[in-house]
Amino acid sequence: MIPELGHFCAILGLMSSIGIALFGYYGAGKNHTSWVEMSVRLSKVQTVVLAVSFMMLALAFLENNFSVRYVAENSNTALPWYYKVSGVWGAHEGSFLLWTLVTAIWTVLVAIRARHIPLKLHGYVLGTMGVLNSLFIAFLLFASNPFQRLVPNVPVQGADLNPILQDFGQTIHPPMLYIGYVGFGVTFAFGIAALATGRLDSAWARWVRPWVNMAWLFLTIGIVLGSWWAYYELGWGGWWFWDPVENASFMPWLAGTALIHSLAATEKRGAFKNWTILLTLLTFTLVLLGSFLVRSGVLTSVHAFAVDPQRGLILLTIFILVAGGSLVLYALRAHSLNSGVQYWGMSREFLLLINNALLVIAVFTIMLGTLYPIGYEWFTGGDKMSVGSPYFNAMFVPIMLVLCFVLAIAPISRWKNTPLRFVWRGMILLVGSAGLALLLPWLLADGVHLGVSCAIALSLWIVATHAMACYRQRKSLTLGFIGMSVAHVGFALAVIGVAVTSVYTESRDARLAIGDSIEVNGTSYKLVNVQPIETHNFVGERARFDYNNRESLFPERRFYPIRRQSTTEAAIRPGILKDRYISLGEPIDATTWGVRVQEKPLVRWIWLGAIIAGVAAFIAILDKRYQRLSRQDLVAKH
Amino acid sequence: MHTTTKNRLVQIAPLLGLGILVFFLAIGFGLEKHQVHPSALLNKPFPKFASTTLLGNQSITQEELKGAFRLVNVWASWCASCIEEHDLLLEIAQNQNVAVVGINYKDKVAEAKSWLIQRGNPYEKIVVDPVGKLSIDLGVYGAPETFLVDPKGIVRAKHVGVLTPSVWVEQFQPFMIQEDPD
Repeated sequence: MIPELGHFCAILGLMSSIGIALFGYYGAGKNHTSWVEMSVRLSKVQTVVLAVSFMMLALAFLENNFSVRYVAENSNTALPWYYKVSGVWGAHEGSFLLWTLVTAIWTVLVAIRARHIPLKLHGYVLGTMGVLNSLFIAFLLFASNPFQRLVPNVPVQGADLNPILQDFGQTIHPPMLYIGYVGFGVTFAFGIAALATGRLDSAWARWVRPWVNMAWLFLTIGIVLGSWWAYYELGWGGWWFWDPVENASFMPWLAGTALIHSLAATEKRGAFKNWTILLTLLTFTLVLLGSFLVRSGVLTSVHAFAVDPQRGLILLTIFILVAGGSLVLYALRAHSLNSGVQYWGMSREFLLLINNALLVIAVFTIMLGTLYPIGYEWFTGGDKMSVGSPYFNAMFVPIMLVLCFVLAIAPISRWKNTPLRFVWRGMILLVGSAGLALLLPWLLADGVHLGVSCAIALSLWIVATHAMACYRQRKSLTLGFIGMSVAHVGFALAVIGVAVTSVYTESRDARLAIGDSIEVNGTSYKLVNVQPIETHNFVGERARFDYNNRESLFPERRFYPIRRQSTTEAAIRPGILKDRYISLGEPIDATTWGVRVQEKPLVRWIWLGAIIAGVAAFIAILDKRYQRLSRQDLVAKH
Repeated sequence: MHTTTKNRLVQIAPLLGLGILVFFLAIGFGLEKHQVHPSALLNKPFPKFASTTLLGNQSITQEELKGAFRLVNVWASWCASCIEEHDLLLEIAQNQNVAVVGINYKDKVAEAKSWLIQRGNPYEKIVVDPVGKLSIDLGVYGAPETFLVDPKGIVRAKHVGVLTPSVWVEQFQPFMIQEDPD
């Protein structure tokens, strides 16, 4: 009964999303309030029914209802209750149900929170959200139904949740990612609405910016969680693999970052209007492309969902409909939004243009690396080739270094044209930062590494120019400017983290018997004992390592008998300056184990910097000009 | 008038880009079905190569693959998916009467070695392929990939992506049972 109720609610969800689309577009076309209001109401209905549907699936997991195929494939009676709940989005069908629920929540938020924007715009935005969720829910119901039953042969036991997903980080990573992804659906809808109404002014940009920042914030957190999870769960201390699925989330992130910057120029100067619109469309197109790549089986990957060609074909159709439809609209209507704003060299507009160019080049570099093998195989008639992390590192690092350079000048630049003395001031700071960057590694580590010094110099320079800019504007500092500065400093911290940890990580591998020690960076790690562990759903062994006389770390190896899969649980002592990271490898004989001990300096800075940037995006939303405008506009409307 | 045409072109450009992209995706889709069916290398001799082994640094050629059934597995320490199939490879090497030969693909020697120490070594021998030359001859699409080579050095089966127990049982084992004289 419960699965059927869930299924029924999902059908109601589809009907309401179709209603949202029809009433929203019709109301916008006729400029008629009551139709748009209908759409607003339906967005509430849609959220409630999809939430109920989602809860029914969670309930089926909690009750161990293995007559539901999806539950049988992804759960087990031995699974702890919290992993039963997270199992709901542990595989394709359930995660897509979550995706539609997230879309519904964004729709209802934009329905309520964007009431102050002009009726036509509101109607088109809501209508577009309705179209998107209609497509998503239809795909869910017709090609990925999580409520499908396995009758009459109901299994007595389930196949268990994939062990590498039985983990806290992996539990909240997908919801964050989806919130971010679909958030860019909202900005996509705003882009469509601008094309449909022909209205794209400074006010439009101000309405969109908080939504872009929110989406970007969640996508950033989602990516950070994924990277952090890979770091501690895959067991050998890597934090980014250039895996197709990681690339799938990184491409929209880069495009979204470009959009945030392009919107700044559109809001303040009315510049880049067409380009901003194109970015709203491109970002969400990349979101859809990413989910197509992950869920269709075109690419194989560690995170990829089960492959089903038919499902892939439907996803490809949705992708073509949304991306193609929006770009056709763009081709027809973009000319009505021409800006014709003038600016000169070294102006803030020019720097933002370079920023956008670099970010978009980065997107296409990654896209090329991800899709090139497919094209190569086709052109050569069956020859195959592969692109791995060496390509991405070689291409990506130089782009980011140039981006750092532009970013450091950003806060001291001015709109239209930057006085030359500002540039000189910035250059003096660069000399200082470069000196410090050469001095620091020389004092702290054995040798100076040119790449690291370069990255540190640029990062310090970024921090210095932003600090100076904030100080000079201290009397008229807005939350928007603070948010921008904090985000850039967060980026600089992440760059330092990436550079230092990539070059200065100390790693030792050894075969250790009980009582043996291994020395890393002057610290001796002693293997004290290895003890068996056994819990509700896995067995394994836990080693104890002592170091610095009184501190201990306990790495584990686990074996999950139901899925016959083993995992390495690294033991990590996190620190702001360095992580100590021990992973327990294969037993070599009864008393000897393969062991890897690493000291990873500044690795936390990567995630810390990204989280700081995410928080900064939120600070910027609180800027008075977004609130003030809402009230003014309400007055104007009445 | 001229600028308007130019603008029009700029506006249509993204649509053309999308067209190209969709074209490639559609191809990728077709290829996926391909992989189930024979690839160019099936039932042909394993490509000629001359390289060295990862552990021991001895020279090795395609001749060393002959004489018994061998499972040739392309892997790298940077390849996250390789971790997933590693337990199965260890089990096959131990219990299945077939030697597993590794091709270490575009990898750094030190990282590959420590990866093996940490996770166990299922490989009889490991051929290093630092720039991916051998892997191009093999038509490697991305690590991991696995080939079954018969005693005469002929490629009999191929799997792209993570090797799973069902792939092993359904696509690889039948060849060995069929031709094993015992």
